[in-house]
Amino acid sequence: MLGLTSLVDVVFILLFFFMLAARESAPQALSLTVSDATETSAAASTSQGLLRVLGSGRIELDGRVLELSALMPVLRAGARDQVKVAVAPAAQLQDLIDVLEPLRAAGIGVHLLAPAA
Amino acid sequence: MRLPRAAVPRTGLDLLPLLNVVLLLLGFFLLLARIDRGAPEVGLPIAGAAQAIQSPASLSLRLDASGDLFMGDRPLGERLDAAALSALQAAAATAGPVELHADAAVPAARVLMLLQTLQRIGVRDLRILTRPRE
Repeated sequence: MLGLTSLVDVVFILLFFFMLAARESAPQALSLTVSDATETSAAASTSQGLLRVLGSGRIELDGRVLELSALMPVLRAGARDQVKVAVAPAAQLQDLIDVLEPLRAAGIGVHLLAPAA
Repeated sequence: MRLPRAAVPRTGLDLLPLLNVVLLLLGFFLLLARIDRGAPEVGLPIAGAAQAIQSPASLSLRLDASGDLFMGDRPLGERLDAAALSALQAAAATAGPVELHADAAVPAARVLMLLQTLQRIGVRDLRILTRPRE
């Protein structure tokens, strides 16, 4: 007769192992504050330091379309410590976070503009 | 002279293996419940520089890939109407930090508008949950 109980024991222990191994790492948190100014009012007041997240790894800085990888060199060259960030309708949340991350890491102040309703 | 002791026939169930399996089943369901509770149902965005969560949030909002907003399991609809806003406001007034489980593929404009709405009704400590980069 087979030792069925021991077999079940081993199968359960294997199951535990794979459940624990496949478990996703704990989520982290990012806090964002949106400015009261909307994108249209900010664009009307000044076009300087306005960064639009276009999505698909592209951004628009003061009217110039750039690849995301070119953002930090351009900002460093301009010695900017503040930017206003707006989003295009096509930009996804991941695109926005990909832009905010290097800005925060470089200590550049970000004013998130709410999209014009 | 010692006579070999006659083997005593075992009667009844062997309890030890049964207990083993029952304990393993218990462990399995405990682990399953814990994994279910911890895993959000949306594909969180990936961020490298996010902070670990220090204190648990008392109000949890979920914005799924199709743009639908939920407070716990309660759907709040695409546009926040007055009833949804007052429910949020009441929850936010008593709750501490609010966390938003937003899908990575949600339009960023939708998230920003939601954040602005929440700020307007008095939510101060708002966190967007992210996944750490592997």
